[in-house]
Amino acid sequence: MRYRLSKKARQILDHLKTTKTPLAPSLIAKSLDLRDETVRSLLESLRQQKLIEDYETTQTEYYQLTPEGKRFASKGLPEIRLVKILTKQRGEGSVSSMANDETLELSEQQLALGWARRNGWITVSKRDGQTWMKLKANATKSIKQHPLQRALNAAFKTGKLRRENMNLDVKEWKAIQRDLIKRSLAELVKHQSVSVIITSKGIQALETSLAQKDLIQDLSPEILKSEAWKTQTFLPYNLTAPTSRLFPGKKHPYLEFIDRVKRILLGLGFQEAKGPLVEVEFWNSDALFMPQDHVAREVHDLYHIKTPKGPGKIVDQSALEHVAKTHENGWKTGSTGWRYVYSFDIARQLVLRSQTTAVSVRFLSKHKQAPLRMFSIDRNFRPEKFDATHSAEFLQCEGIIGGEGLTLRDLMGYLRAIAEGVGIEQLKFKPGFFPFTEPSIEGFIFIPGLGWKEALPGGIFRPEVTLPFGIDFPVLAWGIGIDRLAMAALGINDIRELATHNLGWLRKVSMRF
Amino acid sequence: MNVEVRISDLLALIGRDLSLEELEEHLFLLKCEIDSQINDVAIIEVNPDRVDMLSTEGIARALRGFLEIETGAPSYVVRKSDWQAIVDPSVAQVRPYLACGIIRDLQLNDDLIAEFMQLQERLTGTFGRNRKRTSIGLYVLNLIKPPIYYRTEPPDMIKFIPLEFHTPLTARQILRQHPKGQEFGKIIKDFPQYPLLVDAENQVLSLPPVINSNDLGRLVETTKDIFVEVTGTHKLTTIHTLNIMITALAERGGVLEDVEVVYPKERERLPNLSSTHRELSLQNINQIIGYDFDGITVKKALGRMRISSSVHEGIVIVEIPAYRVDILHDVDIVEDVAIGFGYDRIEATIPQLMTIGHELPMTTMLRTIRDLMVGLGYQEIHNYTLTNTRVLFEMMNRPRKVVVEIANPKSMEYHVMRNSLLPGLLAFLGENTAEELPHRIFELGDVVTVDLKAETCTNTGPHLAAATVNSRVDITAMKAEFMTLLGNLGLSAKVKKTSNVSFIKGRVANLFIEGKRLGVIGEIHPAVLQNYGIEAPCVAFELEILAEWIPIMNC
Repeated sequence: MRYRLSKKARQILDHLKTTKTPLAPSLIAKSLDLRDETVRSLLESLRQQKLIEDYETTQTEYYQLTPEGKRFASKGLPEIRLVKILTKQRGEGSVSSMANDETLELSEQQLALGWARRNGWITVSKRDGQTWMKLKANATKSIKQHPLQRALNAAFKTGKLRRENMNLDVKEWKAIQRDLIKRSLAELVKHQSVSVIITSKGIQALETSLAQKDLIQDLSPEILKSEAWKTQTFLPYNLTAPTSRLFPGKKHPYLEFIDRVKRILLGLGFQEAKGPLVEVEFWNSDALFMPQDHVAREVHDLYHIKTPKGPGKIVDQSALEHVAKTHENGWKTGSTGWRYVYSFDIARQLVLRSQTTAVSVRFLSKHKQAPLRMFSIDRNFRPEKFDATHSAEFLQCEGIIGGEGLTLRDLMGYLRAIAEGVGIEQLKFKPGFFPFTEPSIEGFIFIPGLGWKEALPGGIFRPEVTLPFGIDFPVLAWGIGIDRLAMAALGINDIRELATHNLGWLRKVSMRF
Repeated sequence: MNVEVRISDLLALIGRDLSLEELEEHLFLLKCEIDSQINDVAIIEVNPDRVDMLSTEGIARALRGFLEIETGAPSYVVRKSDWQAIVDPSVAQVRPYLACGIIRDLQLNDDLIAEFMQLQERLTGTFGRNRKRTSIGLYVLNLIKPPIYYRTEPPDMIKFIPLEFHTPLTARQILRQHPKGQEFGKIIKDFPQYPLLVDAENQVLSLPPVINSNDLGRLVETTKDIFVEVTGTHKLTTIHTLNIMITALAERGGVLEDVEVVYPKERERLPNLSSTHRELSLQNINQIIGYDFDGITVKKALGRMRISSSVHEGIVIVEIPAYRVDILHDVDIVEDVAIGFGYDRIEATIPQLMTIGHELPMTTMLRTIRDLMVGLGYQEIHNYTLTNTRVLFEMMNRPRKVVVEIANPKSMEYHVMRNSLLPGLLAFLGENTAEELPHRIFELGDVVTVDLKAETCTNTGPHLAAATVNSRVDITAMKAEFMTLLGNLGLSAKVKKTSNVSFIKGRVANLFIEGKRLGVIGEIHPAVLQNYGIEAPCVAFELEILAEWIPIMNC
């Protein structure tokens, strides 16, 4: 029988033969200065040909902290932080009063309360319609020696958690294992390695193969020059063997999705615009005819800026005057206005931009000739807690279309065209409300599995928005719920995953969407 | 804004039996949505402009028009009464305006009382700007002796039993102890004297906008006649709030009577529920909607929206009911024509507008950079611009710089804007230690820096940062990649030694392009790696991207 061995396979067999001991793949790789994956795939092929055989399987297990586990290792478990807060408050307090404590986030409160109670550290009762917590006598002492916290700290230091690292009896270790998994603080990593030895068949193959050096392994410039390939045979390679994983450079799928939407909008004749992330209230709200005491401008709907203190500047003085008068009495727009005293100080206050419409109106202030089409896809900010459906930072895609004689029916036509452009087929309209457009439209799209969802808002800019900037033709405004569309396209159901920190997911996610 | 209705009650007020699907369909075309429904109770979402629809009564009134059961503006008859409410000049500085009205012969039950409370809360929460602008009180009419006086008094002189309490409290105690005092007390707290409504016998009706009296302000099932009062800081909103509240009550039957509100220099009889006139051209309506509607079509559409109209020679004269406070401009009437006609019946059109699409030159350049980074084998990542000073400075062992900081953060995890990308990359790497090496990542995104000379005191602009983590890393290899990237952008960089506490001493350099210091490259310091939980060595660079690099041809 003739064995066709590659040079590297021969090297491995030779190494196994000379050392005469069972070797683990990683050890072989190290000695021969080969890559781990290369050795593994060669060993697999040698094993199939029965030239080597498995000698011994060794299994190692350890726990590795999850991001949450790491966080609790550095910050402390929420229930321990709760006990510390209560200790500071002389041993008791209401749940709602915890909201002011920076060391315990709102999202961690329930967790802290539940575990502190289970651990028998606190008692909970209702008092004046509030949930009231009281420390038990043992609590302060128990948190100092809390085994779970010790385990997290040890794991954080060494990277791996094994029972050997911990001075614990079996029962305690079991309890910790259970808690780590149940609370998703750590994952169990199993590592298996098989040492191999050469078989007698392997020794024989090595010898015969050494004798057939005339097989061409790597085609080289020398062989081409000497034309030796005309007389020699090529060593066949096994192309059906499994290959190793590669990690190519890759774009972020969400940003790639947005780039595709941009290209579609360019094709529809829109030009791109951009504006600052920190805005003055004038552009963020006033210019959009939102009264200065509008509910959407209060602290729970708008991020105000502490540093820099501001005020910002409004360069276009005449636009500022016109907008102020429009708010107060309608100016020359035909409106009654909001009938209050406009504040120039509020107009100059700094905020984080809460809507891309600010970019649209900034654009209009500099482009007063019809026809025009503009879009912007950029970040906006609103004070929200991050959860599966809310994000304090999100992207919006918005645009405007300006031209003589444009109508509500045209707006519907454009919304349809834009929707079709990004692949939406089913669309229906209802009247909507936005402070800066009238009439307004809300476009509902049909997402399989989710049903009809609001995703395409639009309207005709109110004269109170356009006339102060000297725009006397109709301007249609539209938006796309870009995050929702991206999530549907990428098969994501948690909005936070659009800014994922999971490298494994990014490496394997399909770019075909 | 959500309104809770009993479906049976709503249908009874509409006067027609509808299936849930039909109800949903009509509400959808009227700007509303059924948010959820369990048995007889539905939560209906109303758009914030239609504050007159924040009640079952208001929704029923609108639907009766839409279903053509009763079209045009509803008429409300207000009888004259001899009740007076006298406004003292002292309220001018605190909460200057008052509007009152009376409704008699109502048949109340507990559901209805709860319904009125709901409307009161919603109306003052939104239109009344959380009671700052207006607040409402309802009272048992026959317990009050006219005339009513509206004046201010020192907080310690005010004493009465607030709603839901059993013992009298002073105004100061109410602000501290009563839940409503804690919630709304801030509106009046800083004034030396608080506004107060009392009757002819000095019985307290209310400490507006905080709380009403438990004696006079608690409606029960046997109450028949109600006194309604609105106080506020904005005259028109005060009057409008009364109009919405009292017409909703009147939808339940009963007889309306007016109250004369007497200011030091003027007096007026309220509520004034006569409709407002407005004129606009048929041509204007058609220009906006895009149809060639005739007068009959417009009149019918507006009638369904409870607006009466007549058309003469192309001019539409409309009568807007006193509760429609959202009409500021002709365009608001035009939208009602469109809704009354039916959004489902409007056919879309596409005009031929000639415009040329083009992206920002910066977008083009950034795409080139992304393509080159991907070509060099880097995985792109995307982080938030919101972050915290721990990730941005402390974990980098870097001294704190002035960055944009939010005054009202929801969480200390996100309270500043990033001025650099590298910390976000390292945080990302620290969370991926279980993932197979090597890790090669980059981010291309905006950072925000403080610049007091700029229009918004800040500059927003793109940076590029890249990092490699592997069991062995090579700073010269990364430098070669960086130089290759720049070469492909037609740029070249000078690299000058520097010291930087985030990097290993002697393995860090500043990057200069055309004489400007724009970035840094180096091997991350082990202490910093430890802070982020990175378990293998890491080399990285960060570079500011300048708009001036954009090739001229691209503009």
